[in-house]
Amino acid sequence: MVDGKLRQVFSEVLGIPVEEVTPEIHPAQVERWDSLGHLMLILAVEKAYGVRFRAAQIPELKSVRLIEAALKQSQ
Amino acid sequence: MVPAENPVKVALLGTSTLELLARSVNRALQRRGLSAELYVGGFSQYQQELLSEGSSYYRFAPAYTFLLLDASDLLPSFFFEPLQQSGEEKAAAVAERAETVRRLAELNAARLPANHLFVSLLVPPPLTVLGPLNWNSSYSLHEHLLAFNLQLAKAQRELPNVWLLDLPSVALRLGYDRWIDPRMWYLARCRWGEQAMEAVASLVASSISALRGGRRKCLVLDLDNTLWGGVAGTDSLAEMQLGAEGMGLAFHEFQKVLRQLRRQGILLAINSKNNFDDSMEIIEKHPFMALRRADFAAIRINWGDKASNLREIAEELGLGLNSLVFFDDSPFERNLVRDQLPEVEVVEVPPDPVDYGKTLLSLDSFWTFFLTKEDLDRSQKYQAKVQREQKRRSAASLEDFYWRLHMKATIRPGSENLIPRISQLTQKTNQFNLTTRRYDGNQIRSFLSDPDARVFVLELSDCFGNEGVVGVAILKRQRDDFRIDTLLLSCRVIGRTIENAFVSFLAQQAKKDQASRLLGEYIPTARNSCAANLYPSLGFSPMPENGLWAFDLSGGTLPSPSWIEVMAEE
Repeated sequence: MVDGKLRQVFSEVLGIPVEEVTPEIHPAQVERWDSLGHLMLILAVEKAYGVRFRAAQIPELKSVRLIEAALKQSQ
Repeated sequence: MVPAENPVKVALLGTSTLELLARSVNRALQRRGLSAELYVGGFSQYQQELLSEGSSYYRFAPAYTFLLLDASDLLPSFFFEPLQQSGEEKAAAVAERAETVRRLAELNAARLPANHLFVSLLVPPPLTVLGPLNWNSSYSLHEHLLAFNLQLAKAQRELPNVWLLDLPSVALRLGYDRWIDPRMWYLARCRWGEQAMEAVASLVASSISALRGGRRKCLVLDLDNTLWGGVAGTDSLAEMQLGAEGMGLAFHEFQKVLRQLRRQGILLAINSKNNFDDSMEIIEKHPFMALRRADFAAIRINWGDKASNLREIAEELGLGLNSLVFFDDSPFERNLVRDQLPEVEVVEVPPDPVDYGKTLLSLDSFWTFFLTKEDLDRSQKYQAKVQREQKRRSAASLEDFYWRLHMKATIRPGSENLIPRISQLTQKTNQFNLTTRRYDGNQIRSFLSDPDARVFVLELSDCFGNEGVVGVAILKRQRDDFRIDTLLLSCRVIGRTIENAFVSFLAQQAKKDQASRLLGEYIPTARNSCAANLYPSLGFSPMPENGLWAFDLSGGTLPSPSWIEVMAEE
């Protein structure tokens, strides 16, 4: 199960219902998840969790799983 | 505010990626009740978009256009190779860019006559490879970036419907480390960090709102703990926090901000829960009020509810409730008004009065891009009223101010129990200190027992209360003269002519001591320039041979200011 806070962030930034935020979702499936949308998503995740990712990391965090892993690492 | 039936058409053009900013702008406009249709310029396409008559930009026909120029994009060589260009070459590059922007603005105005074009001022980056050479050599970058801004300002004055967007102020408030996020540049070629985009979007929305007539016309203020610290009727005039120092100064300076708003055509009104007479006494009599009765277009001071007062104020002034801004330190009153009168803008007043001024200045509710004749007239109408009332008083209103302080100076010789205070004042006083000689307790004691020395202290009481010992003078006999070795006043009491009363007293004493002259000495320091002109202003003559100042005691006495009651004690 995806963390509630993370689902909320995805939902708000990508404009999709919270229920659709599953571990499997992928940029290709979501209209607003283009490169700029991705940047906005990561910035929102940073704000919600009080973390900061390095520039090189950001383009790689292209799935819920990868973001969750990165958040765990930064703890 | 003109209600938007159709969405407002806004175009964003510029030198970097604008899509992310566009999302923030949409949200910011929505927060202000405006729906917008946005045109987002292509990456660094602004010149093509503005030059080409058939461009998609002109077909979109925006009402408001924001041209967002970044210094690093406009003048890249400045930042990567500043030493490759001389000052003249940089100046020429800047002039050429500024001229280009001006031409684009003119073309835009010719093709979209109803369009308002906002051009951003360049933000000089605080860190450059030049370091201190930036302002200390002919390779200076900032000098030329500022020259660009000045040339834009000149164009703004000359072209109608062209406005400048003050990005440097936004960056300054945010701090440069929040203004840029290098990741945004490297990942998306976007020149702003996330918080910067929110702030710029807010500026964009505020500017549009102001141009559409969103300006509110009246600021309604509470009195107690808003215009002054304390409660009228409960605290005496002297106990009020309103003065030249500390919290009193905070309230006084807040009032000065309000006065400036009034001069721009914003009406001020009072909405206070107290007795009318007690409150008016402060407004009319307190020497540190920067606003007087005539500055207020409407006054409601009573024990009724503040929402009803606001309705009455709006009616009296012929304004809608949506033209009022309410500033009150009480969360209870603010919630009441928010609840009952949702059209009134209720300022979220911070808990610390030192932040009042900043909070007021942060509002965009009073923004305007031009002062109309009506604004200035409105301000002048009330100003004339004030002037009529002031004509009765003397032209020397500064004297009026001194009289109202009700100053009483008690001057007495130094004594053993005063040694600690005297020594402390010589050690700590830097500003109104003619010679800045530092003495410890033993030295003061030796002066007290020296037949050729005189030590005096000045104790002051005024309408604020007893200030205690605030002045020290030490005289030393020098043959037939007495030289003022030390003369100082605590900085609390500077600027009230007390020094004049003190020196007048010293002259009398010296005369009693059979001296022929009173000599003054001024030793300049970095801090005491406020005392530099004391002796010449009192009519002392310069003595070129030793740099001192002399007053001939046979010629008469030095006048003491009549608004200070001086008591000499033995």
